This record gives sequence, C-alpha cells and structure tokens, in this order.
Amino acid sequence: MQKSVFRKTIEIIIFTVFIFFLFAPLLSLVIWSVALRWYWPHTLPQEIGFDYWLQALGITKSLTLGAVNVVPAFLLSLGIAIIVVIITMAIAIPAGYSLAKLKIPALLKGIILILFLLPRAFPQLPVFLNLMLMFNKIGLTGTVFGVILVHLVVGLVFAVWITASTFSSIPPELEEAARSVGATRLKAFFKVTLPISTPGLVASAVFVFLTSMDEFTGTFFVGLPFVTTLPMTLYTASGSNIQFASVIAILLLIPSILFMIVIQKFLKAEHLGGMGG
Amino acid sequence: MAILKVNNLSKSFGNVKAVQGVNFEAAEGEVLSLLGPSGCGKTTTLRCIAGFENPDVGEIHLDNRKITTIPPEKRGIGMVFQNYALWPHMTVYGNLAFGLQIRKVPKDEITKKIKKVLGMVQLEGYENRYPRQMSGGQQQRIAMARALVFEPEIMLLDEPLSNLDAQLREEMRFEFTELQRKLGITAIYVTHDQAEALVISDKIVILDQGKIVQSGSPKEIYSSPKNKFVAGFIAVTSFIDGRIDSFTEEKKKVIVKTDDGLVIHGFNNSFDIGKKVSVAMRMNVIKFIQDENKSDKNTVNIFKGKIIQSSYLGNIIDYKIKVGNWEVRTKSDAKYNFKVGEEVTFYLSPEDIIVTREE
Amino acid sequence: MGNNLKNELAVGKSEIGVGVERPRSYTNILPYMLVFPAVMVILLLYLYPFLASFWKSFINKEGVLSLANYEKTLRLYRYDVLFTLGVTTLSTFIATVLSIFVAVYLRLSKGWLSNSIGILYRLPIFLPFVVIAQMMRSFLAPHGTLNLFLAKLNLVNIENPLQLFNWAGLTFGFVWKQAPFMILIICGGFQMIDDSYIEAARSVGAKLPQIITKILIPMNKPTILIAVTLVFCSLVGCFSFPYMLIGGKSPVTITVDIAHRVNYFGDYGVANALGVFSYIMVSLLALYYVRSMMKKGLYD
Repeated sequence: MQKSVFRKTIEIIIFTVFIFFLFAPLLSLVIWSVALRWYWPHTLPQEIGFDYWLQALGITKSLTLGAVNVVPAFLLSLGIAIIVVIITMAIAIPAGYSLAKLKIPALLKGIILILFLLPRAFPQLPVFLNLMLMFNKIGLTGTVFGVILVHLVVGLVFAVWITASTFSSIPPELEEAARSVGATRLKAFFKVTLPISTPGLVASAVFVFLTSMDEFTGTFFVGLPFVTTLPMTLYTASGSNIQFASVIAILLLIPSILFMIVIQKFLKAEHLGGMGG
Repeated sequence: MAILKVNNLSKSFGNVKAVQGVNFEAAEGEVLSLLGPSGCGKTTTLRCIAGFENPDVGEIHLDNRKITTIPPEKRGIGMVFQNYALWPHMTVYGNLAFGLQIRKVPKDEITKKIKKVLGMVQLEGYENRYPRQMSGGQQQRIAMARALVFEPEIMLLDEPLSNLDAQLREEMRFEFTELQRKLGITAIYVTHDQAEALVISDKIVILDQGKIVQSGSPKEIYSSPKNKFVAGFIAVTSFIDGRIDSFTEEKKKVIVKTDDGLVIHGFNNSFDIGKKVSVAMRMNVIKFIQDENKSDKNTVNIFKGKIIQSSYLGNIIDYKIKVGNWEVRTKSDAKYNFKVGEEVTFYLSPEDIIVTREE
Repeated sequence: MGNNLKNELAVGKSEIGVGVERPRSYTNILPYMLVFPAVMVILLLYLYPFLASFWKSFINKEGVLSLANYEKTLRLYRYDVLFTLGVTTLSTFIATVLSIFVAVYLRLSKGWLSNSIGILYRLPIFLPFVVIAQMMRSFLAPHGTLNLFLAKLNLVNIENPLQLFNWAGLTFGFVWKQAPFMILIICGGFQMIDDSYIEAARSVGAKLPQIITKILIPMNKPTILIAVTLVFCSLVGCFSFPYMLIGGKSPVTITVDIAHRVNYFGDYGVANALGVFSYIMVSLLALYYVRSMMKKGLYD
C-alpha cells in the first residue's frame, strides 16, 4: 500500500511538470495577446483587454507601432492554400494511384519513390534559395503564382506518399471484382476505389492545406516582400510588437488544432514528419 | 515439484463474470487440463495462476505457499504462450538465457543448462537461430524449453499446440507427455480440444461460463459425462431426450421413454423415475441390421429410421438418420451403402449409450 | 417493343462478349501518364534547384569553378556548422530519451493520468514552427513567462534572469515540438508488441527495468531509428524558429546563415556551400540508418 501511494505521488508530480511545460508556452501566448500593460516583474498583466485583437482583425483603427491588419494576409493565405490543395490533389491522386496499383518496373518505381523522399530527407532551404534564383529569371519571384508553385512542391511530396499508401491499403480484389462484373477501369476506380479511400484522401488534402497555411521558408525566399502570407506577417510583427505577433500566432494555431482533433486518426504517424518545418 | 491448489477463485471484467468460484487441485507431477469452449474462463484461470490477473476472490497455493498476490516475476512458474511469445530480437540462446541471467546464473552454467534443455526438446545446436528462422513446431519446442530452463516448480501451458497443423499437433501431444513424465513436473494445461485433453491429462476440469461443470480422470469424463454440455463437448454427436420410465429387475438397466414413444435401454442407476434425461450417443454406437431375422438375440434397442443425409468419407460414410422426432448421426462402414430416403433398422448397444442429465 | 429490347440485349451481349481489343500501348503507357505531372513538378521545382545548389557551391564570384566558397565557409562559419550539428544532435538525443520514457509509460500504465497524457501530448505535433517560434519568444524571453515563474519559485534571481535566446532555448523549442512526434511514432511501435512478450519476460522473472531495456526497446528499435532519423533531418533544415529566436546573433544555425548571406551579401556561392554542409549532416545520419537497417537485414 505504502509503495503504491508513493508511486501515485511521483506520477502526479511528473504529470504536473509535464502539463506545465506543455501548456505554459501556449498560455504565455494567450496572455500576451490580451496584455495591454505588463511590466516586469509582475506575475500577470496590469491591464488586459481585446484591443490588439480588434486592431489585428481590422475592427478598430490603430496607431500603435508595428500594427498590422491581418485580415488581408489571412485571406491571401486562405486563397493560396485552397488553390494549392486543388492543384496538388489533382496531380497527387493519379500519381499515388499509379504508384500503388499499376505496373511500373520496380527500378523506375524505386527511383520515383526516392525522388519523392528527397524533399523529406534533405533541408529544403537551399533548394528554395535556388528556386528563387530560377524564378528571378522568369519573373516569378514576389508573385502569388510563384508562392503557389513553392507550396505545391512542399504539399505534393506529402500528398503523393499519403495517397499512395491509402490506395495500396485497399485490397486489389475489390477493384478486380468490379471489373469482373463489367465495370471499366475508370468506373471501377470512381465507384469502388475512390469511395473507399475517401478518408485517406481527405486527410491528405487537409494536410496539404495546413502545410500551405503554415509554409514559411519557401515563401520567405520566393514571396517576400510582396506576397505577405499570414506566417510572413507573424515574422514581421514578431520583431516589433509582441501583442500583435501573439494574436497572429493564435490565429495560425487554430486550424492546426482543429486538424489535430478531426483528422489525426486517419493519418499514419510517419507522414507527419517535418510538419510545419 | 509442487502441488497447486486453487480455492474459490473468482474474477470479473466489468460486468462479465469470467471465473466464478473455481476450485481444483493438481497433485505433484500431474497434468491437469482446463477444458472448455472459448470464453469459458479457462485462460483467465490460468492467468490468475500465472499472476497476470489478480483474482477478485479466492486463493492460490503452491505447495503451502500462498501466491495469490505475488507478482508473476516472483512466482517462479514457467509459462508457454499460445503464440509462443519468443522474443524476435533474441536468438534461441538469448531467449533461453534471459530468465537465467536475471537469476544471475554464471555464464558457463547457463550454456550447460541451455544445451541440456535443447537436448530434451530435440533441438540440439539451434542456439544461434532466430525465432523467425524456425518452423512453427520448432518455435513451439523452444517456447517449451524457455519455460523449463530455469527449472520451475510448475508449468502453465495456454493452448500451446493450437497454432500447429493437425498432424504435428498429434505428434507434439506425445512429445509433451513424454517430456513431462521424464521431468515429473506439475503442469496446468489449457485447451479447447477434447482429444488433446484426453490424451495428455491425469485430470480434466471442464469449465463452462466461468464455472466448473465436471472434473475427474479422462476415463471418468469420457464414460460418464455429468450432463449434456459435457457429453456434447467430448465427442457425443446425437441426443434423444426423454424421462426415466423404469428399471430392470436387477436394477442394472434403466429404461428411458421419449414423448414420441421410443423406448431405450441403458446403464445408469443414478436417476429417479420420472427424471428428465438425455440419451447421448457417439458416432460409433449405431449398428445397422440388414437381415432382421438373424438378429433375434437382441430384443430391445432396435429402431427403424430413415436416412436423411449421407456424406461419403472414403472408407466410411457419415449418415444422418431420422428416428421418431429425433435426428441421430453415425459413421458406418462403407459396405452399408444406403440411399437418402431409404428405411433402415439399427441396434444401439446399451453398454455404449450414455444416460445423462438433460440441461 | 419486344424486338427493341431484344436488340438492346443483343447489343449489350456483343459488347461484353467481344469487347474492343485495346491497343496494348495504351495500358502500357497509362501508369506513366498518371505519374508524369507529379514527377515533372518535382524534377523542375525540386530536383533541378537541389542539384543547382551543389553546382553553384563550386562557382566562385568570377563564375569560375573553384573551392573558394568552401574555403570561405569554413573560415567564417566553421563554428556555426558545429553549432548546428551540436544543437540538432542534443535536441534529437533529449527528445529520444524523453519520448522513450513517455512511450514506455503509456504502454505499461493504465488509468486516467496516463490516458490524459496519451491525448494531451499530441498538441505540439500539429503546430507550425513559426507559431512555436513566437510562443518561445514570449515564454523564454529574459522577462518572459518562464523566468517570471522561476523567479516566483526563487529559483532564479529576478535581476539576473536566464538568457535563453541561444542554444538552450533552441533546444527547448526543438524538443517541445519534436518529442511529441517521436512519442507518437514510438508508441505506435510499442502498441505492436503483444502483451504476451512482456508477460513471457515476467514469467521468467524479469522486472520493469529489464523488461524496458531487454524487451521493449530492442523489439522496437526499427521504429525508434525511424523517429530519430525523421526528427534529426527536420531539425537540421529548420529555419523559422532559429531565425526568429536567435536572428542575427552568433552562434546560429546554418539555415539562418544562408538567409543572411543571401539577404545582406547576395553571396549565393557561400550560401550554397553552407547548404551542402547541411546536406552532408543529413546524409551522415541517413548512412547510419541504412547501415543499421542492413545489419538487421542480416538476421532474416
């Protein structure tokens, strides 16, 4: 009995430390976003309010140094993300299907899979740097289209892997049965394979959406200073105004947490590597 | 070697009463089988003995040591798992040495012991193999060796042969019996296979829905199953329900009458007149009579029926026969070649039929 | 009417019976047609610039093939290369140890405490580094929440708070973000280990420490290696967090140096040479990973 009480106590202490380090950084973000006046070393802000939230959302005008209206940046990010999801999925679904289900010589398939593994393994920043040099020549640097292309590369790598693994988890007999009763390959795909793989494909699409919303490094090189997505405004605000930066960080955090709650069970752990890098 | 006593053991999982008031005792050097269908509580009972489950009520004694609440690693009980649970990252040597290393046995002695135990399971020289490099039967032997190598007082086996194919399974039964006899170790053996239990056990405990239905020697259980459930579990395939009508003069034979007027003679004097009983028959009980005139020596237990199904199995034929309102099954020599729908006459020898409780 | 139906049936029949003999080349080409767009995107927008970064690292200011960029990189950024390697290795190491502990705890423990930890720990996995950067800026600042809290507990002197906008803060943020991801992967591996393997160990006398070190970790080694590789690779290439936390101060990670080299000097040669150094770091680990996988392959 003595021993189990001792163990329980240790468990609770560790749990408390765990909760503190997990939530304290988040909490400090929340407190800063509503802190109007907070002088060291007061434990809590002397004055709190939603002034910065209202200013950041463009509801009240602001004269504060470093103030930004994040609504245009948010809409820009949203628009880019939606376009990126559509293009990425349109390219990734056929590719994933082909890699999972169709006959490609083993060597070639291996090369293609390695090609899609490279961007996950190697740091992407030097690549984006050279992509920027490439885009400089054809006038894509600083354009929304250039940023979309960068996000496409980032998202496509994840999307192809996830769709391929989704499709390969479907037993081939299901599609074969459809064909044996007279469905064409196209019909078998749309009536059998596609409906069964919907959860995986949706997960993949949401994932691409999120990588685009959060993308930093590529946009930093190809987009700045003309294309300011939400993460770029966060970077800009971070240096000048901690309250605005906190508000933007929370805005960026919301879709991620929604994603975590809704979609995590559809995803295999290894696909999440390097998320939001 | 040790005596295992299980007293009034009960264990529930939520609302499910897995084991309810189970009592039994395994004598020194004895093989005791826990037999029953899946979900009968046999595995839970075994896991309580091993220490992986804590019983809600009841006690477990090993010799005179109460082990009910001792953690499994301190019980010194060898266990063979259904899936063998051989650690895939260790060689055979590593698997067998693990328990000895924990007991801080010197290295040269470990090697010696492993050599000896591998000899016992006829796998000398397999020390450096990994589990996945061996066949199912070999893995099974290694699992057995791992449970024996640290010389436990008692060993537990949880359906150890159920993952092997039929032929190998029969071979391994004899090997297990031989090994167990040689070591004289007490063994508790969980199985759902009645044939296995009959071959290997000194004592069988039959469980159903967490309770003991019957326990005794294989012979007792086979020849006088206590009720319809036990009978059904040990190779009885046909039942005819009726009431005890009367006894013969010497009170040796009992006469059972069914609602539809069949009269069946059998041996069993443990029931009162008027008691509802079930006449249980194995596949071999029914003897066809082709020429009725020749069989005048038997005057009772002759019935007429109609073949309603016949399955050809090579040298034998499996028939289903309708008698009154009942269906009985028999396996007969292929020389009797009846057609479906044909009328047949058959005799039941009173010695071979079992009169048991109907429930 | 009846005739019509008959005709239709006949037509349908002939379609199924005879079918149209497709040109063989169509089915042969289909798989390639489907992967073509995706492969083109990666070739043009990834592989070309990727290879260009090697090529350009050997081109000096005059446009001539030379090792000048590497000489300059080693002269100016030797320390930062080591710093990157050090912080990444340290972070990966701490995250690995921490996540193995938590994953073992989650595998073996039942009850509301472990259940709630089993859900809550996942939170950081889905947060982007840019948010984490801002979070750590407010949490780890000299006058930030952590120092405030520690000062309340009298663990730090309020006049002399912890300075964490350096390797320590970087490591803290890296671990905060990546340990949960590792727990997720390693936990998945532990769940695959059937209870009977643990019970078999207990039945031969193993206690908790032996079960962890001799059974659980070795059986789960492939998964742990995958987690280590994924985390290390993602940390070497991380840009937003060190850029926002440490910025222009020194020492800093390679990625930040590259951005500075480009933004302030327009020096693409040295920037690319630094990039090649970051590739090499990842390759070293990948090599180790492949080698230990090959070793495992020898058992089979």
